[in-house]
Amino acid sequence: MKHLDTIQKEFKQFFAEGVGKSFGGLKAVDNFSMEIDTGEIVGLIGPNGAGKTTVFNLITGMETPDSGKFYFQRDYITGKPPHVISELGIARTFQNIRLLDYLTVIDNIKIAYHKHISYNLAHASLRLPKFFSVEKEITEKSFGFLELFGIEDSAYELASSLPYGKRRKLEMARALATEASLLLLDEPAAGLNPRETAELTELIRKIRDEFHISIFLIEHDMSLVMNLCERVIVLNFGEIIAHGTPLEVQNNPDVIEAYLGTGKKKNVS
Amino acid sequence: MDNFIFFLTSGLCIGAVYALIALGYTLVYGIIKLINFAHGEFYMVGAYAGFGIYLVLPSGTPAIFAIPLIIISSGIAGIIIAVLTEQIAYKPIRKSGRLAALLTAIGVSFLLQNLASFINKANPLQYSSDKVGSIGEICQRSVSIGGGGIKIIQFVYIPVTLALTLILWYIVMKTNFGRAMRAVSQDPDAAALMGINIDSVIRKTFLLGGLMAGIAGALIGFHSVIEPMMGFMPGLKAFIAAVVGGIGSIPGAVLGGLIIGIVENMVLFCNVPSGYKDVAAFVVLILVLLVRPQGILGRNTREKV
Amino acid sequence: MSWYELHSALGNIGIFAILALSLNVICGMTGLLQLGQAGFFAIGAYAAGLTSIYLTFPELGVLNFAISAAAAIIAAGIFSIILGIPCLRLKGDYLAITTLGFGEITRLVLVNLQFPGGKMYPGEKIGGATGIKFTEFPGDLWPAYPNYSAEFASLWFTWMLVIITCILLINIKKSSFGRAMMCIREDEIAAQAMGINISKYKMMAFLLSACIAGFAGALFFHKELAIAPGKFNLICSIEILLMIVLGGLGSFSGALTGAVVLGITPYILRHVEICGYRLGEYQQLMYAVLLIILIRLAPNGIFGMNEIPRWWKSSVISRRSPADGK
Repeated sequence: MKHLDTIQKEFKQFFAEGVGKSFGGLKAVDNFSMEIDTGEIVGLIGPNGAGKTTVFNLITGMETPDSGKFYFQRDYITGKPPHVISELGIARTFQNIRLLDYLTVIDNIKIAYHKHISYNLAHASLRLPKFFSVEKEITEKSFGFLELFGIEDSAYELASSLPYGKRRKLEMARALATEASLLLLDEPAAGLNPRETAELTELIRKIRDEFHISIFLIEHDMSLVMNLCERVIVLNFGEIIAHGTPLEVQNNPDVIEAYLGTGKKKNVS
Repeated sequence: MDNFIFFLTSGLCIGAVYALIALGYTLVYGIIKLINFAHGEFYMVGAYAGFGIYLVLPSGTPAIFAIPLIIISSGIAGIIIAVLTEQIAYKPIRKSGRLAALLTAIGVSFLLQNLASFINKANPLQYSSDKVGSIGEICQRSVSIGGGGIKIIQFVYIPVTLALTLILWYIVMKTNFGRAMRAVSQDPDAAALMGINIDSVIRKTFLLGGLMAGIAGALIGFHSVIEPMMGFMPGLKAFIAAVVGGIGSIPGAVLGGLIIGIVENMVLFCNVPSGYKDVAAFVVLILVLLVRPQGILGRNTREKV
Repeated sequence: MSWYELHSALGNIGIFAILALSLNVICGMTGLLQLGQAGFFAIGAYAAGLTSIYLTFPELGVLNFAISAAAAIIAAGIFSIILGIPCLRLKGDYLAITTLGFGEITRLVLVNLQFPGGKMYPGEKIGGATGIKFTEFPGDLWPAYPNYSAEFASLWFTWMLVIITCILLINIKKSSFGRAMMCIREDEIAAQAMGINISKYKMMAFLLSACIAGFAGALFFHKELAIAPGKFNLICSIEILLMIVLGGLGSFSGALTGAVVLGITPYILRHVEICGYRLGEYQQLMYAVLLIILIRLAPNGIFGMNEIPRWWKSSVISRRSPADGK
């Protein structure tokens, strides 16, 4: 188990310290502490119901912690509203994809740029030149992200018409387009076959390398976690029960117990 | 002080009627999350049906028989119109989303109001009070409370409401059907998987709601006039009462009804011009939604991310 | 139908078209169910009316309309902020009932409220159930001057405003503002994750929608010159909602179309007879039935969420609307 007291706080990108959250008597997250350094890929794993998505909700401001603190790039972000946290540079995807189905694919990406819009209602309604120049820039950037994920052909179709694999990609593209420095991915490989998962693993690594961002991901697919993550945190009943490299965690008896209860290994490549 | 007692009593009596209507709202909303805008019209139909029976009864019928008979027939009329509405108008659009349901309910409400207008084109109806011992005459008898006259028949409202509430509470809490209702209101899909017949449960819920509304209609008909638009305001106020008390909660509906009834009358007690009486209910609504949106006895439900 | 009747009818249709456009901003584009639009319509009309009665400057001629329109927009705006702030955290049905309550409170208050008569009605009070009326100023307070107001709210002016409003709103829809509002309509949680300040945009929708409705109120006063609270009731709000549902929630061209169709219908019905029954008498009944059938068979309305050009081009794109499954 890594000790946190030796870490020099000022240099790490993201901190969680003793975060706790209860829902009506049920402790969903307890004494959650971790840090992420710029450019790391960290995994969060644990059995269903362990509190992983709750952790994401707490970080992004959708829930407020009962105790503990979050720091991001030296800012104290605990308790700030979600849109502020998004502006500060943390983006997330959702376990059950939350795309805007009745908007086009490219509009879904353009929404990510909304905080960079420098025109106002007057420019928009009267279609002044400033509107056109800003929109052109946004469209170009949006296409850039669509091309990165290989979905630019469907740019003007409704998001609802995309097949599942591309929907997952669009969800990620959208989060990336917010120009975040920390990306939270909630089960990005859910529903993908092994080939697609391998593709995704490469894609995530490429994104990290090109954009110099940190990635914190929740996953059940162990092949992805073992291949991709530099560090893994294991959650069970809201508490961290293990924390280390994928190999260390894989061999940790507490982890095995949590997943299986009997000591047998599960589904590891 | 005198005056205060008069307004308080008035408030309790009308509050009991609002409570009855509110019970219907809260049952239906609890089960299918629909604000049944037409619920006030069920109340109106009940009132008309009761009056219809009254017209048919031989003129010498003693009030002691006639009044319960009228109440029962109003209840039955309420049941019929409620179940009919559910089957014809609401069931087909059950999967179509909130807005569709709301607009359909509004459509049904307008429809019933207009139909009633065609039947009752001229003056509002009233139980005739020409003969001593006739229903109308008994209903007009009043007693002086706190300096104002309260019609004796109004004192029937509170016991009737309490009795019906207890019966309803028993049904919902202690019977199998009640358990099925609560299951459907929590999670319709899971309930269906458990073998509960959703259609039947919803239909019977409307039945109960319609019964309450119909009876409320008969009661009001006794002391007030019966006219096609009579359901509009009480319907709105009863819904507000259900929200104030906590939508989905049976004691909440009763509490809400009594609160609205009393507040309305307290407004009059404070010498506010009577035209503003109706505003009181809406102001209470907005205050409650600001301070405690789930209502006084309501439960907080959260959306899972 | 006489020329005058037709003229008046087309004017009313234009004003309701603007109302439909305004409601589409908040209901269609942002997804907030607002059942009290008649309240803002009334506030605008009364603000314009009272301003005309108290503050008319004959030297300005037709510019007086600008003053009363400004008053209408500002008044509506202020009330929309008052209503909007509590509504920010209400969802779905609760929002509907609160806005309905607002519409009803406005009407009830206007029925009971009396205003000073000003110079037009010296020593009297105006308002109440009979409403307010713009007549001539007494005596020789100033020279009998033409009914500039009625001339001003002329047909071409009204419809020019309808077209301009429609174009401006479509421009907003296809900009970042429109995207943000539609995002809120589709999925508030996703919107927050994208950095959209939900409260700010909801308030913007409220404000924009109310101000346009208030402006329609000003137009209405200057056309009719007499307004009474009875018209600004729940039925009025529902009619406006019906227009945008008919045209397709989320579509501004749809809102226009719905307003025209629903506006023309009563006039047609009035002159149609079937089997000795004059259909006009059954108008409300037919509307009620129409509403129920429409929701059942065509819940997306005519255009769905698309504006006319896109709808024309699309044959493959699915046209499900926000009314589905929420």
